Amino acid sequence: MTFEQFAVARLQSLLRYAIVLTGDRDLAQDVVQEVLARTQVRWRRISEADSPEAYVRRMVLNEYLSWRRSWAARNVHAVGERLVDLDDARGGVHDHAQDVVDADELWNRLTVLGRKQRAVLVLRYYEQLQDEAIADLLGCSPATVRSHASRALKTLRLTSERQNMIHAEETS
Amino acid sequence: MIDHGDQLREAFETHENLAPDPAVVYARVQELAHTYKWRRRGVQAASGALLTAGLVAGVVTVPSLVAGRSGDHVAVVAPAAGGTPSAPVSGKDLEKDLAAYFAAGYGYTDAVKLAKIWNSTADIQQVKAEAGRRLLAGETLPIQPGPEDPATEPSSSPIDPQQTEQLNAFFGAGYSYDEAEQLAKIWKLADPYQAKIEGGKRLLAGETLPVEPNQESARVSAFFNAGYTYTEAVKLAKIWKLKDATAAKAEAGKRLLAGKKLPVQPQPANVQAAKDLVKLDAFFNAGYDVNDAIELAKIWKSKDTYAAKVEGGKRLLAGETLPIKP
Repeated sequence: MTFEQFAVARLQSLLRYAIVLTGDRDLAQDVVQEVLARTQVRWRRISEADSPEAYVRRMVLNEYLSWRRSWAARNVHAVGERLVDLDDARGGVHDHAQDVVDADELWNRLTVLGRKQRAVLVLRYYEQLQDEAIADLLGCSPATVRSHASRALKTLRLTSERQNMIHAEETS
Repeated sequence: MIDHGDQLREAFETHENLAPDPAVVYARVQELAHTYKWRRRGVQAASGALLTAGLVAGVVTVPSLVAGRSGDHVAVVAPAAGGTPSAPVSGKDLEKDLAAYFAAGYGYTDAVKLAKIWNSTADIQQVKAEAGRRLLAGETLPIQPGPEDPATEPSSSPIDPQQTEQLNAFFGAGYSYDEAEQLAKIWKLADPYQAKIEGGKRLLAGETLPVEPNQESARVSAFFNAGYTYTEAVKLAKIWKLKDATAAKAEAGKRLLAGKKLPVQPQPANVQAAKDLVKLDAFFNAGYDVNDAIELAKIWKSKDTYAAKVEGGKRLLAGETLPIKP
């Protein structure tokens, strides 16, 4: 498979992954462009991997984790209103439109998380990876993964907007 | 109570369609890749300049930028090596340093190792920049490029058209990497790639494979290939009273594959983008590659090679022959 065939087949999927990871359209574009440009230069080597796509997705993750822009500046302004317990707010009754509204709200809240915390949630719930696999990708222990996930979930559900903003600044 | 996982999955899946236009991104990737190749030559020139100028202290080795193999080294004259990392750099300097770092074959994993060696707590990007700065200064780094190191061979290697056809048959039947892994085990092949080739070969011969393709994956692909996005999936889920957009994508794909029409139409721009992908597939499936696209772009006076590939695919799908052979 040539690089171009790979890109044609997998670019959309990589962009979806990047937008979910970064939460920012421009940053997702930057990250994927950077990674794919390097991939193209190294394609002969990367194409020999068991799964070039898995390899490139890992590059996207690493690029996101090491991106040097000011995250607090980019993210805090997007934080929505105070955190609420979605289920309590809905009183246990769900309809589709409400689900979409809730998903938007939660998407905005995700911007307060630090990069590793967000990455753990994306890898666990979007990529549906086990904690051991996530630990391998992030170069940490499964216990650290669980700790990141736990803190992230706690932040998403229980902390105030002010605390979230402080958290975002501290973890950027 | 709804599980956190479901809420998060919903939040992620409802926003994945915010992703930027792949055509725009791909065009930029091509530009960047060319820049990296150009910079690699620039780094070579920089090393050469240091050598001829005889700026300083001793002869050391740096990874060869010519051969691109981590085992190869060339001798250059190094300036007096600074023992501690410099202050963070930014702007053009940062860009230049990073380009040197990647051009020398180093990657993210190497930067992590270097950060440990240098006891650096800086952002990993700054570690890469520092390493790049040292390389540009003619210094050698304490580690060789790791397994991520790039090769300098042409980025798109010629591929056997027969293998391309076999791979397309494999993927076209709805199979994916997961099934290739299973098939590699069953057929005792070295890797999933070999299984894809073998699977495609058997499919083209009219045989059935011992593993069923993932129907859902094929259906979701059919959905996106028709130009639909998450927005339409949400509408369809509501119309069909399905639990979520994911279920709607699979159901819609199933109907599309059966030749049925959907009650919601995709955005024209998305349909166009999806059609472009089909044309690109046709172009590559016929054995053409980027070099052919460059030549065709000149013949047709296309605005870029991407447009030439799309035009080529379009003509091939219409049964026409192109002015050059693959």
